[in-house]
Amino acid sequence: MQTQTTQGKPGSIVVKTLRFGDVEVPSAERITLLRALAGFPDTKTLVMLTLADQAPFHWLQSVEQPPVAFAVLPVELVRPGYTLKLPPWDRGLWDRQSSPEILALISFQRDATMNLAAPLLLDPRHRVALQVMNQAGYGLKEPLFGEAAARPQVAATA
Amino acid sequence: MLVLSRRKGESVMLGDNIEIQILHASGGQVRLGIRAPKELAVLRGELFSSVRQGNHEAAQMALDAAEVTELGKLLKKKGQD
Repeated sequence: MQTQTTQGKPGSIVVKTLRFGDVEVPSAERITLLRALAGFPDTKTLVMLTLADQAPFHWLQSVEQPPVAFAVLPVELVRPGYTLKLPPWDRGLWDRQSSPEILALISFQRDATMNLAAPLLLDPRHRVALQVMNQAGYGLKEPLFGEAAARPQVAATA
Repeated sequence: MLVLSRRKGESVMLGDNIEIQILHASGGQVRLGIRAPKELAVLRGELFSSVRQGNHEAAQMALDAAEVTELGKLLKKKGQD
């Protein structure tokens, strides 16, 4: 498919986005998905955009699909002690020494929720990411505000 | 969709390294045995669907930049409490 990028200054790309207009990003900051996110087979590359006054949220913007951007939050900020238990197929793909940054996808329907069952792992140094199925018993829609459930929600086991 | 009839103990091969065997069938429920390379994700269909649905909801324009700014403020406030 046609990639939605044009050459910017040397060493950078211009990413077309629906939310933020054309954004120039250093080429080296592109993040390669080791496997497409479920439901988004055409997005292979992301860039992380951080808007002024939006910390601690970031946006993961699709390079290939201008309308596609995910608001994410580092899990450690909202769930200290969050644990990962990866199924074999994810362990096989995420074969990395260093511990990843773990990002939760945020969605905002009636309430703000975060997906702790299928977080995104990011290796910031090698710029690769993978959405995994965490089998440690967290929910797909955990409240962003309010207490963590004393017992994890229905486990997202395979 | 390809439709096949299989009896208990019989299997279906997908390519040359994925095997799905019928272990047991009764009362409207079928028990499957799946042999597949370990790097291949094997998930219940409804779980995959709910992750896909969650991703679509996360990507929707329902969450706009201004709301994210507000959420950020709320989180920071909560952190100071």
